[in-house]
Amino acid sequence: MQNFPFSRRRFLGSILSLAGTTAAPFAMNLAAMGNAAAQSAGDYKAMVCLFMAGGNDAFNTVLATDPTSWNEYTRLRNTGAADSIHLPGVGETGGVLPIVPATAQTGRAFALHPQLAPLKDLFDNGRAAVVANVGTLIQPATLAQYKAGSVALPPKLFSHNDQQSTWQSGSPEGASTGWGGRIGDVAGAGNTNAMFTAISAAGNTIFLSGRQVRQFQVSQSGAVPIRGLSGSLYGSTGGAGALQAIINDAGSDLIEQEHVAVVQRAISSQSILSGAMLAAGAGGVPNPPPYVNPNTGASGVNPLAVQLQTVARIIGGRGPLGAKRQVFYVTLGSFDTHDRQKELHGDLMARLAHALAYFDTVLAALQGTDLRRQVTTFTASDFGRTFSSNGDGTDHGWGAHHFVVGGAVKGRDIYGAFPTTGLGHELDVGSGALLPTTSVDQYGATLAKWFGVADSQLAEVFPNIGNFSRRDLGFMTAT
Amino acid sequence: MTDSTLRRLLAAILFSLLSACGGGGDSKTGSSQNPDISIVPPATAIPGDPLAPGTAAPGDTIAPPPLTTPPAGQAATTFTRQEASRFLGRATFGPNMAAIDALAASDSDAWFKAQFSKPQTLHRKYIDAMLAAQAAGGQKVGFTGMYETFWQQGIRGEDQLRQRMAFALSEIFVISMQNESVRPQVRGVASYYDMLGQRAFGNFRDLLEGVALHPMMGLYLSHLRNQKESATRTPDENFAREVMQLFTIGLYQLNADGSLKLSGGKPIETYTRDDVAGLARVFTGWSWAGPDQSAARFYGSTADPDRDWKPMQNYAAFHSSGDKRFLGQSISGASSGQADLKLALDTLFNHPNAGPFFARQLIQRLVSSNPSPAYVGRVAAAFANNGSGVRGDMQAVIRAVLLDPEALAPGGTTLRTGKLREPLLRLAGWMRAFDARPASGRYSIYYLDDPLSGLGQSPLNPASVFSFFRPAYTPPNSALASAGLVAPELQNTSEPSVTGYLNFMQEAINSGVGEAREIKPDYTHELALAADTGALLDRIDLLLMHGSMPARLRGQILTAVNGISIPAATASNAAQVATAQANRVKLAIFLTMASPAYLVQK
Repeated sequence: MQNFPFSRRRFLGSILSLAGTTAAPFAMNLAAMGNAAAQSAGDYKAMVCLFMAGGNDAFNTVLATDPTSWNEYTRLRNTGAADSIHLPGVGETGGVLPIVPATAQTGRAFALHPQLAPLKDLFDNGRAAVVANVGTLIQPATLAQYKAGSVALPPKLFSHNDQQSTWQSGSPEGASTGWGGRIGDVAGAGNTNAMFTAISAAGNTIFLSGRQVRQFQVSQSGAVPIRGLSGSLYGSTGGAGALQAIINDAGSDLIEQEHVAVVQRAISSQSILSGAMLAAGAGGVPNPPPYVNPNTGASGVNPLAVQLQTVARIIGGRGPLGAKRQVFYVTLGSFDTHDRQKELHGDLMARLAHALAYFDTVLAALQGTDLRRQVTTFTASDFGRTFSSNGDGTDHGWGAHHFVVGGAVKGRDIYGAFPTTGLGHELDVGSGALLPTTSVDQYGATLAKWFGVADSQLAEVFPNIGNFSRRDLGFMTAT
Repeated sequence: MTDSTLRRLLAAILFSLLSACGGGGDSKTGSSQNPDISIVPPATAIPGDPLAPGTAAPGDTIAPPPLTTPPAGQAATTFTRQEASRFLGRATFGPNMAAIDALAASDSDAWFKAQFSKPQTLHRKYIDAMLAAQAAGGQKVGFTGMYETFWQQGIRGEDQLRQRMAFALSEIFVISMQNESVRPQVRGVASYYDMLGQRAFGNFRDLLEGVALHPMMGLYLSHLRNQKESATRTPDENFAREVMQLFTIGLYQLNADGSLKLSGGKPIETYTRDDVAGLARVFTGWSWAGPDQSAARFYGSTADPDRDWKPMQNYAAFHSSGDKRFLGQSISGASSGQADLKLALDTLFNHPNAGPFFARQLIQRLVSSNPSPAYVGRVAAAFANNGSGVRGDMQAVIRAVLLDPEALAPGGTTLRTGKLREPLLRLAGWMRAFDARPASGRYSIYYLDDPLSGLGQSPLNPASVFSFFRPAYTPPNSALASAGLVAPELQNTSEPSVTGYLNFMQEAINSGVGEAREIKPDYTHELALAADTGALLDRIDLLLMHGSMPARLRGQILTAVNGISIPAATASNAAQVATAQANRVKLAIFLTMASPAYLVQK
């Protein structure tokens, strides 16, 4: 596996050939590329988007526990029935876990969901932070402006697929690029092979698609080859050659062409990726331990941890892959807790914390190197949920609290004013769903800056960033 | 009792319950039995296909909805064999040669009449038989049971149009066994699928009601046990939102041809959050069927034995008595749950969006990803009025989709024709074309979900209510997107999935599918053509690609297949000869199914 010396022309040539004739490359900021080129050889960074699909109930994830807030919380969420969604208080059996942010918020106290103990540990150790009330916005909006419709608002609020897309790209379903891919476009200049810039260990996601960068998917089984491409196929060497030719041959049909493009990426990436990826288990990245389902007590596989293991296996292969900047995507589903929230959300929180702690442990000693300062994981979701309950669940909301995790995070703190708990306050757009006070753009821009995106390039990644006064929320250290 | 003995016992029980008249399938002439080739003894022409679902006991099948009359003055369509194959590739789980020949000798009117008239075998009865076996000490029934009956009917059923329609409707009116509440309810899921199959040929209004009141949908979108508002509770909005967004009217107002209506250049929302909240109040008080409306029955602790498949009933005590405002309708105060539901479903059914919204999706499921607005408009018109003044006539809509001039026009002539075959239908088409059967009678195809080891798709098991893929999906930053075209099935297409598909089919074509690969193809007819590779390829082309194989692909496959030499027969080399013949057949089929020209159905 050769490491090519960095060549700007070779990089341009390679990505333009990948893009084909239909892509129109945006005007590259050569000065910015020069900055990227100045990165030292050992410099590596990765961002991991952990998408909680369905809309996470942030109100039960990060809670305000001061008496005023807690009284409102229990008054509104405790139905008295066995399936009530309210959580037990601090000090009660199975109660929420107190956290103390470095920056106090007057009169407020805070806690995490009872199943987030491993994440609380990361918080207390300074490697996790909370970013409060993040959501999709085009520009800042007050409640009055929202109700009057007097400012631009993201379309199709409260719709799953559109808000997933808006979180990931800035636009509803049908977007052509996502900000993870756009970050890869500008910050991935130092990568030898652009194919390994934006990688999903889950399914297809607009998040990873850039103007040049294409998302690439890897299964937990690694880069498995297509059988019968070489050697013999049904006992025929001619057959193997024919298979190779046929699966690469598209007519004029555009759907055929797109399919062939995926096949070509699968073939061209397979041997280098399979050689570069660390093994799963002994000699590579240790397998995640089972997690415990808090409802049943049963141990089981945590699919989110397995996805993060796949990510770690690729990070471990960054040398042979020639990768300097990589954007990853993992996902945990079933957050749309319209019903049975108490048990379902509890299980999801257990998986979330278990997976994040596992990933932290793996990164602490990946092939003998502590990479935690170089890898940042952040959560995302379609939206938060309503504060009011429908009995045993919640409905679609908007703003929500999220976590950023990693050694470069200025952890043990909450960034952004924590909203009032309850209904009828200045951020309540109905049923307690929150008008966001931090935009996804600002959240992403803070991460992008750490990742190496220059300030002058931010507007290419986040077209609306100019609408917000603050583009660095301060939760990342400088390097 | 050993596992395999148990399997045979269960198979015997199933056989005795399910074997019946059926017939159909290829008529086979002369088979070459050879232990080295994985073929099963050819089916005879005698009626009594033991693997076909059919009547065994009263109640196992039900009559279809009545035939509706197509508009007068429309001549029936006739088909060449190629056209018949193409039509059947859209209207069924895939053609076999007998079906092609039969349709080519008939016409569309006769075919539709026959298909609309076929009795329906209930999947629920299959599960009942499994549950009876379980009760007798047999194997525990799980979600895999649903897969067995899905594949058995899908591959062997004579009511192929119903099979294909039920599958298409299951991708629009989605429930999924990935949902923890739904997964244990195997019989409920089977009955939901029965309901789709039954109402596929009735009226859309009844289909909508069947969906809304089925307990499995109640579990999946959580309106089962949804309670009226109180101080600490607002009604669950899940079903109210998705019934609008996904099942009936969509997000934006549409013209009759499916294009967006614009106001000041901007699309117009069909509903607001207030509409969702108002409709959520309508869908309160619904819960399990049963002989009374006790609170215990509402909450589920008192259980009618058939509650998993009988339509939900409304419990007045839990139904919202507040004002309900939605989509321009207004219900003041206390009202009956049934009346509120009727008003809500009537409103959705009569909304101008309902026709074009459904039409476009059904075209995408059966024919092509990018129908022209005119095509959508013609199908929407059939939805609006079947020619006899009836709105929502599914038979009329289905005819309109499958017989539209745009569907019947020669393929590959414009960018608009074509759709990427979804992986499940590729497998089904192969199984139908080559008569794949399990010796035990059970279609044990269980674990298809993983894209690398399976096909990335299991029936009734998508990851969310948004199905396996979105109707509007287009690959980001692609030529398709630039051309304003969509390709929903590309949403499931990835480096792992293209690899997994090729590896999966390579093995399946070689030695079968399912547990222990017991579902094996019958290549008798193809083997008979192994020495005449042109004729072999003609047959495969007709079965799998309706005769549309491009010349270059044909040349590539022929060269490869001819490259496998068949030794001249001697007294002692029968095995080698058979292997060579089999390898030619398998290579020809696999290379066809691997080709982009096959993968994009046109």
